[in-house]
Amino acid sequence: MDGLKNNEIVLEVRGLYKKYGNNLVVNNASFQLERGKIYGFIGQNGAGKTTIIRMLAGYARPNAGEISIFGDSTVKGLSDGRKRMGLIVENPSLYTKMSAYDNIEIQKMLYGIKNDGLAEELLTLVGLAGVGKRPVKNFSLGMRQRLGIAMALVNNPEILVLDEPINGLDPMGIVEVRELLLKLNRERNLTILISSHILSELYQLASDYIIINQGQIVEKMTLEELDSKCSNYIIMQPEDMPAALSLLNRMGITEIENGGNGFIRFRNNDNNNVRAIAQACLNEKILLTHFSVQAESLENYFVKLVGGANNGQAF
Amino acid sequence: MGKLFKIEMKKLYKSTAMRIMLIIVVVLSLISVASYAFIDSMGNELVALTFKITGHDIYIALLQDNSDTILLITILMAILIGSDFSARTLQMQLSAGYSRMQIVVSRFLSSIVAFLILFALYMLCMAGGITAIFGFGPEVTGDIIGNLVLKTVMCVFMSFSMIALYMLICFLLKSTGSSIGVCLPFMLIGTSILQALAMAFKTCKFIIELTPFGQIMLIGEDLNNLEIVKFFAVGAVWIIGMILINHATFKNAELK
Repeated sequence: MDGLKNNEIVLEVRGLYKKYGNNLVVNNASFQLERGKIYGFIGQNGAGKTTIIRMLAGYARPNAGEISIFGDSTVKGLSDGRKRMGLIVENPSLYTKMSAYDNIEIQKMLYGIKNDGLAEELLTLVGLAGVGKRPVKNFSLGMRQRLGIAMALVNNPEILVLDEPINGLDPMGIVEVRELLLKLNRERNLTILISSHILSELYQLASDYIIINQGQIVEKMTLEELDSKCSNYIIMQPEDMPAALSLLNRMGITEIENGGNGFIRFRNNDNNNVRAIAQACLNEKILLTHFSVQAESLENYFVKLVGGANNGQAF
Repeated sequence: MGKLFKIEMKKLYKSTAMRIMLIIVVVLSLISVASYAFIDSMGNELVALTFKITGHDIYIALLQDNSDTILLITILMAILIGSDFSARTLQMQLSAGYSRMQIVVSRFLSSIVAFLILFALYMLCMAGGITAIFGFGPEVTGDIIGNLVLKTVMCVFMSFSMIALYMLICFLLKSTGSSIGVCLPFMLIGTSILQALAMAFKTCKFIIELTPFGQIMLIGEDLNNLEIVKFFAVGAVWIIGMILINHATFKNAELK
């Protein structure tokens, strides 16, 4: 990876359109992936995530628009670029009658890789070392997903595109895959585009987010931007409400919502406020029967952005 | 391309379907040879007069009608290509940077290898078995061997064109069940209909002679040089044509 710079655009999608019959599945989608970042690709079922990934993989052709991999959008350039990518689209592509070991050997042959110890190394990496000789047809969904990841890593890719890779994994498996992807990103400076319905998981993994709704990219942002957009609220229940409101006003907090039953809520964009407000209430001898910080999650933000339950399937 | 072909060979080597096909070929041949031996052992004079078979006869007969091996190879292709689509292993090759033409050609070449193995085994078991029991027939001369080699090459070559046609169907239908469902009735009924049409109408005969089905029936006849050239030309046009049509349809196919 010598000589490779972060901030380098490794993959770019410009004005992509895809129609199936009269159904416009992808509508003018544009985004860029920078080297070394992990992108969470978020959207409802049918939003167009998998269709875009399939076009990136070369399984489907866009009706309009352009895909550029490593700065090359020619047919040959895309074909060469894809050799430097690892992919899992929906379910891993596996020869189910063969063993995990044979599947990796076939993938090695596909890329012309001669490294003898690679299969064992990758199976160990994804926690399948002990079952490498077993036929894949006997594998659980989680084991297949892990094998799919191992196969996607055979060609030592620079970009990893994973469509729902944690589908069917148990909680331990989800943690293991997350740790694995973070490790790969850290150690190999791997760019990862990962779509998932488990938004809490993406929040722990991704450094950037691309949100798609009804075929359109509706938001692109970094984790920091997401955090700043996901407002924190302080919720408190003071025994002496007038004294508490007066104190908050004096501290410059004027937009206060009344939640009923003696609860009030106000925005907290600076975590230092929490300690200051609690200390001030203590100093003014205002007894608080409830004091908590409420943060809006990625799920809440996503639901708010795409219109919640009124706009298709909720998460 | 070489890598894809090697992968196809590995798949074939590991394929349970291929092993079953090999067993079927051996069992089928043994049953046929045993039944000929049984009929002969009955000692019926009438049967002996009308039913005199030799290794040479059976070899020529199998070259004229090798529908058994074509049927087996079509089922095998339907299984392998169908599972490539359903398990998305074809897509894996696309994302590894291989062109759709390379994918189609590698499948064709591996099908040819599988066919050659099945064909050689079938011929060996049938003609070998009959020769062992009833003898080869004519005296083995250079002319006889030359004629058998030529007819074998013709049969194999024309079989390639049929394989190309059935592979096109497998690629178009993308599913094992559907491919078998379309190919088998065509092989079992369709070819008989073509033969009947060829006998009934001159125009049909002319058209059918431009297909592998029409040409392969001519193998048993004494062909002049022009007819042999026509035979190979028809086969080559079909092979190239089917592969190009296959590529053209697969090129625009949306893969899931």
